[in-house]
Amino acid sequence: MEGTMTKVSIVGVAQTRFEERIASLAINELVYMVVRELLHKTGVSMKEIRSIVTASQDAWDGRTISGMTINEVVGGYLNAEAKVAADGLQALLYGAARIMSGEYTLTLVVAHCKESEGTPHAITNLMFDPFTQRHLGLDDVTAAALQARRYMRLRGLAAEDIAAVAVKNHRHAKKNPFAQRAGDFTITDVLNSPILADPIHELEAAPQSDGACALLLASESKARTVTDHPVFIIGMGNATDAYWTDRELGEAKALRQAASRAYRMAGIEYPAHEIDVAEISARYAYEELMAMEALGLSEAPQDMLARGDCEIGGRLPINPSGGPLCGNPVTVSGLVRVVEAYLQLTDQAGEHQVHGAQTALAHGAGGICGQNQSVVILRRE
Amino acid sequence: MDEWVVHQRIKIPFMYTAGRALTRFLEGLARGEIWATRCASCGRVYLPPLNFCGRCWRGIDRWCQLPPLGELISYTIIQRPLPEHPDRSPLILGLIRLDGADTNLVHLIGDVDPSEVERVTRVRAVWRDERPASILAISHFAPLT
Repeated sequence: MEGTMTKVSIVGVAQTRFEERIASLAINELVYMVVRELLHKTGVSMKEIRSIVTASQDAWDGRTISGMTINEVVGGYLNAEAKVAADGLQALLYGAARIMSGEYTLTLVVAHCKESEGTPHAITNLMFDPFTQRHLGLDDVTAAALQARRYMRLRGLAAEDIAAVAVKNHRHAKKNPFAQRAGDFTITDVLNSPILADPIHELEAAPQSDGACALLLASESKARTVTDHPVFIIGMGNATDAYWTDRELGEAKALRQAASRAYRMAGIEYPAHEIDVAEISARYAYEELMAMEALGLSEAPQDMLARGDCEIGGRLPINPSGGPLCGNPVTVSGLVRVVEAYLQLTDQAGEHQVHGAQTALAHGAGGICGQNQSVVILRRE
Repeated sequence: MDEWVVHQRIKIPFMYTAGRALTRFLEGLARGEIWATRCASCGRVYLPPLNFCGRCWRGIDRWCQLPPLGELISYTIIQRPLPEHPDRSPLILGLIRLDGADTNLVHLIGDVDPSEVERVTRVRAVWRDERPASILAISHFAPLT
């Protein structure tokens, strides 16, 4: 972001607690709550916001043009409101581009999903090719299971290597007040939890989750008037891979691309040494190991994990919030990674704070077996 | 306070156009044949066939027939009943790389006990007697013995 482009900063964040079912609030009420909290925290009034980008999905919201449900509560009335039907991190990239253009000094970015309202199998089955795949009964977790086994075979990983990710994340989640599922599980506990689609166990998959999050982007000059502690987006990258049956499922090629773009923009040469904390969108435990490799954080992530390097207080904490395994509404997933990264860089993460973190990575993914990948690098001043 | 919800069932009849490449593929299946396309530029063999190569970004018009044999490169065992297969539980889904293809086919794996599937490397298509112009012309893939 050198040259004439406006620097983009994050000046505030808000998230709901993730719950298996938030029964008392309709979607628009849930989003209103999180936006109101964000404005309250930043002291910015809705009258100042002219640009809004939201993320939600029609099939999950049970209505076409899901953005209409929340248009009023995000301040969309007669403003530049747009929706992406993809992971929330894509909404952030879109919002950041609006700030970089110089046209808007503020952009509100919001993501929501109430997974409890729909039927996950039927909704995720709709992702698949209607000619040759859908009638086989595929859904998100069965495709993930096919990828998990392929990746484990390519790398020679044992079930215990994958379960260790779930152990670490649920332990981290105990310190995160927004987490839905947390606990001191052992590897045996994880491997004894019900099998959703072999080799994926219940504790190795994100639970059904309702929730929302929001953040406020600002140009550098505007940011200075809102906060003394802006966090800057110093790198962004995304990439889309081939369809899931048209690629080597055991490799995260698109994530490697997305990461190299973000690192180049951020001037990062040795990510494993220059990143202080990473929030990774691993909706399934095996994805965290795949992502650590593709992000260049470790060549043997299972060993790094076993050494305790990925713990809070370790050399490179991964998902100190507990990550998606501890609460993960679809589409909120990638954006709340940025929310958590912001909390880390502003010393607001509370019990799961990574002390002294200067540079953070947030990762988002969408599509079948992570077809679409995004990476954002954030830095405090 | 009681929580109120409104129950609805969304049912949308839909007609997906198969297009040129898939029509030829589906017609082949009805005859018990598996047809793929090959990119003239990179040589990649697409199954199910595509009439363009996204990697080279060019059209494809070369067809090749593949044998109903291949490698089982991954599988998953599903214990819960799926609405698509109410009477098949447990169910094994496999990712199959047919000999000569560069992409994977997904299908049911059968004629094997779930506890034995880990040992299966080679599989063959088991055709239905009455073959529709559909991927379901193949009933399932079975271990090649």
